[in-house]
Parts: sequence; structure tokens; C-alpha cells
Amino acid sequence: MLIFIKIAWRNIRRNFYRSVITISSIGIGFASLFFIRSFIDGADHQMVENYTGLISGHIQIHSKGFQDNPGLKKSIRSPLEVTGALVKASGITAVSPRVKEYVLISSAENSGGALLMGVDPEQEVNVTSLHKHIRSGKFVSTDGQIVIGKTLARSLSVGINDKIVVVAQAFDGSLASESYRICGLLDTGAEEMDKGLAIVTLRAADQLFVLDGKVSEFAVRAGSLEKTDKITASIKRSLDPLKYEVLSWKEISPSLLQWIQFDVAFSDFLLLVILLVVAAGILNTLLMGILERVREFGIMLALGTKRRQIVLMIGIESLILGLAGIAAGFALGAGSSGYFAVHGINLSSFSAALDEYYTGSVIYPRISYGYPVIYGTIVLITSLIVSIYPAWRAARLNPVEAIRG
Amino acid sequence: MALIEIRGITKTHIEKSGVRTEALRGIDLTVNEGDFLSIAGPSGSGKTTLLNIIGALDSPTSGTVLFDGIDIGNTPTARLADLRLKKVGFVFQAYNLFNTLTAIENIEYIMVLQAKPPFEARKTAKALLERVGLSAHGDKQVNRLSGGEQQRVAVARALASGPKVILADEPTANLDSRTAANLIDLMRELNIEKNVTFIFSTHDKIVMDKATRLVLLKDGKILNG
Ligand SMILES: Nc1ncnc2c1ncn2[C@@H]1O[C@H](COP(=O)(O)OP(=O)(O)OP(=O)(O)O)[C@@H](O)[C@H]1O
Ligand SMILES: [Mg+2]
Repeated sequence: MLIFIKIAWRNIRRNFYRSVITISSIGIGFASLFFIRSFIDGADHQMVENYTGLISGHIQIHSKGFQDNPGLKKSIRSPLEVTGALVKASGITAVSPRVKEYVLISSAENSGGALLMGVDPEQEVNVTSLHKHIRSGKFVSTDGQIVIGKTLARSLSVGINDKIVVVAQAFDGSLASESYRICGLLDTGAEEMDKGLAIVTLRAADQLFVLDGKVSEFAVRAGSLEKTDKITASIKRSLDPLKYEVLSWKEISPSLLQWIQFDVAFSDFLLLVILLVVAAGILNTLLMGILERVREFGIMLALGTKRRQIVLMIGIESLILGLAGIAAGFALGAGSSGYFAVHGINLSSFSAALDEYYTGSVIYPRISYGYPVIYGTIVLITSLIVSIYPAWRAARLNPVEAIRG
Repeated sequence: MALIEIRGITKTHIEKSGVRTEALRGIDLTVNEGDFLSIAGPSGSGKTTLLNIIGALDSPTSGTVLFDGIDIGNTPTARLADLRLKKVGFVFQAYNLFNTLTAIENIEYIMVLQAKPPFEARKTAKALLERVGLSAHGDKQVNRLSGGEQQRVAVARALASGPKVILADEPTANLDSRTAANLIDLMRELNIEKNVTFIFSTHDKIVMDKATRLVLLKDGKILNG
């Protein structure tokens, strides 16, 4: 066994440049896979964090049926029951109770529909970053104030300090109406919100809709995105499933999840392409090496070397090339991903598109330790599979002809 | 005692192009244990073909070869590899050592194939190397050695398996006449010392004169039978 490793190893050394080229091509392939996957994971992570951080939160709790068919009738009637469950679940950073209902907003000039959200300003800022997206003015702090999207303001021809009137149907079905003074304009970059969102305090919304403490939802911020599924499950366990729905961001925004699944599929496709390149590289090296060594294999066979020992030797050679390539690729991939994980990759020249997907224009790759191991194993197995054909060719040589040349 | 019995063998090589060459046309030969036998003949007379058949590398088109009682024509390929490993040593004209290995490792290789313990293999390899006068060169990569030295490593490698017979196809063809004579003398010493049968082919007069038995081959037939 040892002698076969020696022969394989020295062969790799003998064809130094060819081996270096093969190892580099495996390495560069693996490194690009590593880097691209880290990049995609980073971008996806930012996208989810930004999206959930902007308005939805990581987890939402509603009365059952609210998600599909929202409305005041589906309000949470006993919020204390929910807060009780939330206190028990660990890993939660912040919670914000909200009221949500569609209303009509009118100015002197014009009127339009919008989603009115009542939030407790002190709690909301810990769950979302809505307050950071106020372009002019400030976030709501008292009950007579309202924040509206900048596009909505434009269509209503209103600005800071102007008064607008909100008309809605209250919880009991009666018509409700109240006027508010605009304290800030919202500029999130997400058209949907800039065009159709208005925010007042939770108490103002409670009074407007006559809710007596009922709320539409609780938005939850988890300690980390990765823990969301676990926390969602634990909240679910302590709430009556017939009364409540507990949704993670994946259920709140299925299109976001689809986008991420697409990204994963894309990196799997890339894996396939890179594997083909790696396979072709190793195959080429091994086949060339075997053509040059026909006589040597002939001698080995003549001296009584078993065919499987020849296969073993070529397999070892391929394994060494594969391992060296993966080691080099790991260093390169982890190095480059690690560097940019700290310094970020500025894509502001493409940022119009990126804003739409909420990633932001600076991407920070994220390294996780699962996929390098999986990819590495796959690359290694590929290099072994690829060695089968050359090994078979070598083992099938006729020693008499191989020696005769 | 008869080690190898060859009865009426012929060998027709068929090239891929379809060209047929009758390399051997009816050979009868008995090789006894301890023989120091030279097969001599002009180029193309069938020396290599005959040696390959004796060494179980190739099979005859017709006729039988009994090697130490085993009928080579009726033995599967895998078993023949085993037979070669255990009973035959090979020395080639072009040395054909493993150039990536050292002299010691070349000799050890055979014993590794035989699954000898590494420690024992190393000991035997050293002893053999010393016997062929190359103990100072054990750790050298073999392609750094001179032709004569390489061929002596090849003889040591051939001996390493403890074979019944060593087949040497024109072992001296690439050597100058003095080195050639020295190599044959060494082979003769080993032939006596270890009681290993040697069969070597040559067309060099000086070399064939050192044989204790001479077989003259021409156009695939033995002239002096
Ligand atoms: N594998 C082969 N395929 C086709 N023809 C072959 C093959 N091996 C040998 N021959 C032919 O058979 C004849 C005998 O060849 P062989 O190599 O046995 O002769 P030789 O005595 O060893 O010659 P040399 O002294 O040149 O080595 C030659 O005509 C040769 O061309
Ligand atoms: Mg010949």
C-alpha cells in the first residue's frame, strides 16, 4: 500500500507543472464555488434581514385566518394570552403589537387608499427599521401625528405639518374619521410602502377603530435569522392553534423564500458546471499520465502486479490531486469570502435593482461550515469517479504489447 | 529435474492491421533446474516471443508449456500474474526499472506485491543490493545510475521474489562489452549460489559463450535440438 502511495506521489511530483495546473483548476473551481455560495448566502441573508427588518419582523402572530383574509374582525381579542406565550419563548429580542387596517386618506386636494398601521413607537423601533426610513420629519410619537409614504404624500399634494383626514370602518361597523398632522414622510425604496403605507400610534389607531385594546398582530424580532424556525415552533406550542396563526418570514413572504430557493438551485447548478470542469481536468491529467507510462504499467503487470493494485495506484494519484486542489481552493475561497465578509462588496453601480430586492448595495458574504464540507466531498468523489476510466485503461493493458512499445 | 517443458509450440502474432507473423514454428525444449541457458539468434528469430511464453506473459498459439507442473495455456490471466510474481524474475534489455523509485524501493516493490512485512522486505532488499555490489547506491533514484548499475538493480529485483527462474531478454544489449561480461558473470555466480535457473537471450558471441547451455534460434525454430 505504502509503495503505491509513494509511486503515486512521486508521479505527481515528476509531472510537476501538469499537476500544479490540475490542482489549480480544482482549487479555483472549488474556491469560486465557495465564494459564490458565500456571496449568495450573504446577499440572501441581507435580503431577508432587510425585508423583515423593514416592516414584517421575523415572526408574526395573528388570530387564525388573518393572513389570508385580514381585517379588524380577525383581531386578537386577548393580547395578554399572546404576550404570555412570547415571554415563555426564548431567543426573542423584541415584540411589537400592531393594528392594521385599510383606510381612505384625504387631503384638501385629493384622496387615496392606504394601509394604516398603528404601532407603539417605543416597541416598534426595536423590531423594524421603519423609523430609519423617514426622509423628512420624524417618526410618530404622539397620538395626533401620522407618517405617510412619500409617493402617497405627493399624490395627496401634502407635506410635513399638513393635516389629512383618515376615514375608516370601526370594529363595530360604524364609520370612523379622524384628522392627523403629518410628522414625517416614509422613504423605504419599496414602492408598495412608499405609495400605500400610513403610520399612527397604537393608541390613536385603537381610538379610531374603537378596538378596546384588541390588536391585529404581534411582530417579533428573533435573536438571529437562523433561530427563527425554532422560535416559531416554540411559540406555536404554547398557543392554541385553533385561535392563532404563528408565521415565520417564510410564510409571511413566500416569494422571498422562493427567491432564496432559486439562489440555492442556482448554486447547485454552478456546482454541476464546476464539477464538470474539475472532472475534465483530472481526466486529462490522468489520461496523459497513463499514455506516458504505458511501458511502466506494462512492467508492473509483467512483474505480477494485480490489476486492482494498478487501479488503486491511479485512484490514490487522483485522490492526492483532488485533496490538494480542495485544500488550495478552501484557502482561497475562505480567504476571499472572509476578506469581503468584513469589507463588503460594493455593488452600488447595480444598486437600483438591488434595492428592489432589499439586499442593499454592499454585500457581505457569509461563510457557513456545512457546504464547504459537502462541496469538498462531492469534488473528491468526483475526482475518484473520474479516475475509474484511466485506471481501467491502465489495468487492461497487455503487458507484452505495453513493454514492446 | 525438468522445470519447464515446452512441447511443439507455435506462435502467430496477428497485428491489428491483420498482418500475421509466424514467430515460433514448433519448439520443443526442456529447461532443467539450475540451467544457465542462453537463447541466441538473429533479430526477429523469435527470442523475445519464446521468453514471453516461458514467463507466462504470453500464450502459445498451439502446443503446451508446463511450468513447474502448471499448464500455462490453461491457466486464467489472474493466476498467471500470481505465477509470475512467485516463480519468475524478469530482466529487460532497457532495464525498465521504476524511475520514480530508489534502487532499494525497486527491489522492495516485488516483495510488497508478495505481501512481505515491510521490515523484512527492506532487509532482503539491502542484502540483495549488497550482493550485486551496489549497497552505496540504495537511496539513489535509479535513473541516476549508470546502465550497468541499473541492470544489476534489475537482477536484484528479479531475485527478490525468490523465483525459480530468471528470464533476461537481451540483458546486455545496451551495455559495453566489459560491463556486459561482468553482468553475465554476476548472473552465473547467482545461478550457482542460489540455484536459480537463468534463461537469457542474446546475439552477442561473448555472452553466449558464458552459457552452460545454448539454444540457437532461427526463423522460429531451434537449430541445435
Ligand atoms: N506483438 C507482436 N505483434 C506482431 N508481430 C510481432 C509481435 N511480437 C513479435 N512480432 C514479430 O515476430 C517475429 C519475432 O519477434 P521477436 O521479438 O520474438 O524476435 P527477437 O528474436 O526477439 O528479435 P530481436 O532480436 O530484434 O529482439 C518478428 O518478425 C516480429 O516482428
Ligand atoms: Mg527481442
